[in-house]
Amino acid sequence: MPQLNRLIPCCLLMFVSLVTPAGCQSVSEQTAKDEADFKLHSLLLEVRKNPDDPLIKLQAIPRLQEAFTNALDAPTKVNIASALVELGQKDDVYWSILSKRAQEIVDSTAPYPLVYDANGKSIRGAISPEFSEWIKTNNLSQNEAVFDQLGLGSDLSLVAIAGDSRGLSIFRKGLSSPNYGVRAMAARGLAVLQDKASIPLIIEAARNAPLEIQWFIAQPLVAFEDSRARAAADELIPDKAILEDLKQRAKEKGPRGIL
Amino acid sequence: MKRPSLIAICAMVATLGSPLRGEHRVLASVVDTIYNTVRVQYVGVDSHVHGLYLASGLWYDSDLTATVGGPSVAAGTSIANVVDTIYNTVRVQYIGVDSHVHGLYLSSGLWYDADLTVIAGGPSVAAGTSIANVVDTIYNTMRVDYIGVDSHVHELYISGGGIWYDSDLTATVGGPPVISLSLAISGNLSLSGVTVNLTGTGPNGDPVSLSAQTDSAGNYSFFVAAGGTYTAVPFLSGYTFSPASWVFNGVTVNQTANSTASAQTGSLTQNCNDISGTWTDGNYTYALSESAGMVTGTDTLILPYGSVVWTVSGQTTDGSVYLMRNYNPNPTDTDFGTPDQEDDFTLTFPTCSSVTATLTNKIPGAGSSFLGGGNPSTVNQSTTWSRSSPPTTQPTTADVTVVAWVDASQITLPTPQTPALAGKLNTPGACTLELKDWAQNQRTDLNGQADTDYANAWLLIHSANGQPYNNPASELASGDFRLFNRFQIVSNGNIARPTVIPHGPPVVGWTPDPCGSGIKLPAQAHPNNGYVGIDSSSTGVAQLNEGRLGTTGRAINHTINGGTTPWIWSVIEFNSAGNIVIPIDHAMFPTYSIYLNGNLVLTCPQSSPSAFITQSESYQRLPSQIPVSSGLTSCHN
Repeated sequence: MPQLNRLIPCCLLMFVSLVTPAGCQSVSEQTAKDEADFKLHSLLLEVRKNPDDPLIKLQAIPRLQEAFTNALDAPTKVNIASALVELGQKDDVYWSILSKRAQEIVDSTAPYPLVYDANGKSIRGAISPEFSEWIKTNNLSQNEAVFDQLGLGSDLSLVAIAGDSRGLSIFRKGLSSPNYGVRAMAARGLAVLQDKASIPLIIEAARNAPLEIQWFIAQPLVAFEDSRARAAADELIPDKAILEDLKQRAKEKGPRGIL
Repeated sequence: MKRPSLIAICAMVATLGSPLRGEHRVLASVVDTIYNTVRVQYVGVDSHVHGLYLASGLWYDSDLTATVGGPSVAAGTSIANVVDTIYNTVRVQYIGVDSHVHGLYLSSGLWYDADLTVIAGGPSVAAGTSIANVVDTIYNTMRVDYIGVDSHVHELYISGGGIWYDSDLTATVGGPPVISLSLAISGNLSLSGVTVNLTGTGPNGDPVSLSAQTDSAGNYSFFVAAGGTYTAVPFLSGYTFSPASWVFNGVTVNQTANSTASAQTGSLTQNCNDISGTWTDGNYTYALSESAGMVTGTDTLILPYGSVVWTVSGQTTDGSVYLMRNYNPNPTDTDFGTPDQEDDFTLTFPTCSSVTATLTNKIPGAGSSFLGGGNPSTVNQSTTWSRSSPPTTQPTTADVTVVAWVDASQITLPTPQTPALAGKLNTPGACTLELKDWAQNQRTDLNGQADTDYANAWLLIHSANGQPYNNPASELASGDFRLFNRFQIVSNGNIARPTVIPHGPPVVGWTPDPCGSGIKLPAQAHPNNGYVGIDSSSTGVAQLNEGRLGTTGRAINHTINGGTTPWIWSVIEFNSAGNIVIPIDHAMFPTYSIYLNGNLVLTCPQSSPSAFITQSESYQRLPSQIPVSSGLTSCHN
């Protein structure tokens, strides 16, 4: 069906602004916002695919800066800030919002939601008693809390992608997080920074995790030109197809290829 | 340098062994004064942009699409190239299969691809249109003009230090939309609420599937691309239309398609003398007969869209219940299976709503095995036999519900392109940005079709769909991942028997969390993609259009709730005779069950599970495959 309500003033604004301007109300506000959000994410995707493309840089930076200014919610700002820092915009305004979110993530003491059996394999659908207690104490909805906790790692990956050396201490702290997803993304951040001193810490963080998820934490080891890292990757990533896939990606795109 | 002729270009292609597309040939050449060469760009049979260029007197071929990793060229479009003397580069612009304008350009000797539509924020390109470009040395800019999906002329241009912008030139000048893009197909059916489905192919072979309803004055209209082939079919339960459909082949001017609606009628007649009769619905006549005799006192005739139940029961004056065996209306002998014990009776039928049976028991003496266990010396009693069906109000409504679902047990995971993606999906807690974006309905590009297929199959399998139970209403309530189409055929414009299967908005069930929590997402109502008239008060007739799996590897719940891409829906419409109204419509029933007046009559297995995942057409179930002609008793695979 044709979208009949597209040609309205608010929508016209969307063509120059990637984020819905505050106070702009219309019958098709939601549609326009969805469209603007889609355009923003398309642009972010282009940036992540081709961060070194000079035209992408030239084109995306001012549009993302404008979008950052107009964004009303923190997750969107974090997402945009990550892309801008990745594109070389070292302004404190971007890094501060990134680092603030990253620090919250690595400082979190929330128990990990999933339960693992004696063989290190997760029990599908089961929630750990510690986590159940934690959500009760904090008066949280179980489903939302689980999704939030399992998504923490991916939130941290926005900081890892940015590749800013100011994140080094944050990533190192993340390696000891009770949340294995956070450990995994902290390890990726250190790989993007090529911090070889962290290699033993990454190996330890993986080995101390349940068997099932060790390979996921150990992935970034393939991005280091280091014999210890390579040997540990060979050991901790038992699926050879995945291992070769990761090596190929690291070879083609560097550490960001395995994010 | 002399500009090469087309013949020369073809000779070059032959020399180089490069692919040249036979259809929609596109070719552009330019003298490159920046890199001191001649460049010829064309679209190969691989739908890639290829670049031929001269170096030291020799021609070379370069697959520019592969080099930059850009999308393939959309069929039926054109490319344009230019030497940009303002920004000192060579540019090749084309329309990708994503309907975006893409710009290939040279920088420091390397080719890059830019999705100009995305970065300039312009609309997608209208299908089958071309682009034009020019270096504007007056205003010192580069301009790329194209026709957007809004039928406006759009221009992408560079300003402010190399930034691309989109300008809606049509809107800016207040001009009319591009005339060649669309035409109207409209008409009047003298009846409101009629659904008109229009299907066919656009001028470039793209499938078209549209639906409209007549307004209070009976008017409807479509806007379609000129030059396509379309078939429009009106439908409203209980009505026939003359003509029943219209076909437009390659039309380029507005079309008017009117039709006359006539109400269908149904009637029941029966011959009261032998408990038989006919059911006529205006198209077919069905014979009513007691095929197995009145063994249990009940006989049922199943019509393609309903059933007529005859119940015969009686009671003697002493309270014994008779079960009539081997009923034969004339002569009136009934043998209960015991030698020399014969019960004779006669039946008369004074009215069509009651039957009087006169029974004479010829069994002498005690010890009779007459039914009921009594011990009458003689029986010569009358009893009244009643027929509970057909009802006083004749069933003029057919009620066919098609429940279609994806049978997860039949899905096989295909081979992924990226083993790491498979690893992440199968490792609970291994949540990356890619998977989280996917789960949160944000755009995520996987690494190609194989990964998309794998991810879709993974989600389907982990949604744990299985065969429905026997009660669609409970399926809806439980939120299982099922799809419901319900069709009630009416003869008078009203919905009859609306409570057989209460139906609210179609519901799909939980989808798995790609991040692996194992927690089920709650059931969600299907959005209003492509359906008209269905509502929770069971007064609407489902008109659900085709849908399909997402094409970019998005989460299934995005596909369901995204508002642009419906899930697997279909239109199957039956007229009052139980015949398909729109035989050419797209139906996608991997597996389906058919309910007749609320009763499960048939379940058909999944077709081509692997093809279903890859969206091959072979998995589709066409409405014509719904086995109406066999009384809904056999699957048509």
